[in-house]
Amino acid sequence: MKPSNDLDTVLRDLYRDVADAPLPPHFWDTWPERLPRRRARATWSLVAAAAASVTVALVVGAVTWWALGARPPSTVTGGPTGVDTTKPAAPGSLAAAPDRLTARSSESPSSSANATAARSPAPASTESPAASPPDEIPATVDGQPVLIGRVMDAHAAAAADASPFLVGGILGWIIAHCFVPEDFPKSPLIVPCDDGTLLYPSDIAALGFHGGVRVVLEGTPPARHGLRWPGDRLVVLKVHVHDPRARACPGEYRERCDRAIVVDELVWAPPESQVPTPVPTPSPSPVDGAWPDGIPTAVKSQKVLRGDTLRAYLLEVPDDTPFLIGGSAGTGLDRCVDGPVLPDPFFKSCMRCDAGSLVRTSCSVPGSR
Amino acid sequence: MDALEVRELSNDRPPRVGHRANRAMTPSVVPGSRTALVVAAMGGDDVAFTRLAQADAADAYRVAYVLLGSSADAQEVTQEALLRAWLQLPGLRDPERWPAWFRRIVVNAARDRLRSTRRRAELPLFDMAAADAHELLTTAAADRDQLRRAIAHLSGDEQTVIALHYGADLTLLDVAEALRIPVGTVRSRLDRALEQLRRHSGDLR
Repeated sequence: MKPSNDLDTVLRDLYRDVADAPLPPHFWDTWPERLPRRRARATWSLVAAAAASVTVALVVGAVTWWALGARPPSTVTGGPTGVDTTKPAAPGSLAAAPDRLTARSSESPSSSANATAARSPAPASTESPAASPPDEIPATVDGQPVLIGRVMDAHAAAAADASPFLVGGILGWIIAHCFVPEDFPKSPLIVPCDDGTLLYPSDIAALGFHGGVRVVLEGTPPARHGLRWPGDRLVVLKVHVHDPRARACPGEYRERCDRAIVVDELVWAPPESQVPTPVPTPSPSPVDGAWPDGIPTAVKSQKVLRGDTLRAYLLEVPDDTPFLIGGSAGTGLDRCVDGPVLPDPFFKSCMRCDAGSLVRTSCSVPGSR
Repeated sequence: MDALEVRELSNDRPPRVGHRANRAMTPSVVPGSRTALVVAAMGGDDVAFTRLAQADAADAYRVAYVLLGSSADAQEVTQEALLRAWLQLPGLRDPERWPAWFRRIVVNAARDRLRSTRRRAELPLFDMAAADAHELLTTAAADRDQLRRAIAHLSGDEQTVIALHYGADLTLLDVAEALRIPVGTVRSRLDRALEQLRRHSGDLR
């Protein structure tokens, strides 16, 4: 390096302005008040070691069995998702997940149960779905970090292109109440109320509607991804922002479209056996063609779904055919009908729902503002 | 935690551990030391981690800044690296290795940012907003500008080595550790880069 001494000096000088720059004081303004939750590795190191030992034993056993001429079982349910790992995974299916899990997923307390799931199914949790903490979500999948909460927000905001990244949380589904502008674009990327499928960093019940971030699960109700009604599943999703279709959004909506978090694939979910049973919410019983609060049970012979009937329908939506849902303003469900509409008494507006994407468009109501 | 305490923590760097045998030794944790903070943060103490972050954010910012050439980007990457570190901290095997381990996270985050923004061709070490306008009038400034342009023509890997060694003032060993490459590779990249810089920057030797 002797001959480049002059160059060394010039290079050091060159960087001096940058290298001596102090960290701006406002840096800490955006520091989260509470850091994202994680599980301390040390707590589960013994469990992880035990799980690893069991896994090694199973692999050795299978190899030995194969070497002795016996075929291994056609279905192995010991993977983290408890699915058939001997078959190729369909894109987006849960079966894609098992081999990708690393780090915390293999250390989680559930993984010891996973390793022996083929022999002894894990006991079903009695927890309320909304109370499920995201602790079981793996820290990484395929070596990629799983971002949760504010980390996810920061990453999505900072992303400069449509490169995929992994996000984790509790998936919920909410229908909100808001004014729908007449000119709201028919883009799959945004909906007027920012509702629909939301990803929560933790307890849904504690966070409420505003605690979740909307993710675009296109054209496919959660049921088709093996997901159930709100909050019953921890998930890791591969997502992207800056979707190319954002360019089709009109000016004032462009940025909102651009920031939409679009789901590419479900890459991880806990074993089916560990999914808590959703707690049903009692629905009012219809009397004489109307619900007790006066909302009709059908409009033009088409059934108005609400409560448990709506949930049951959403789990098995056959196609994108519009359907009717009903409810009272302020209870979380909005009036949302297709075709001739019921006016919204609060906003003097109305919405149209499409089953697949939950895209809603405004419709005019005589006398509306 | 007051500023003085932060400064003390910043200066309280643990000795470099360069040998496998040393790494295997159980560190003696001095209460209040950086290692103690790391151990506490590994156990989930977010207050300890915040103190650790306050102590090391400035270094991380400097590394990110020299790699990215933008204060705003460097701040974002520093935040991201700190959060990554918090999430991945349980995977740190030796608390004494925190400085190198965290620096590697910062470098990776900055390189990810560079890749994602595809701004490699720009002058990554020069923030126009921070430049002194009068400097451009001087001969020395012209040389520096010429050098900046020459650096911009280096490969991404060479730019990174130059920035970390001359900008962040890391030793070749530190650079190797941060990039997870052999020190010989760092040295060869540096030599190649310097050779090109000498060739492109004309009068400079």
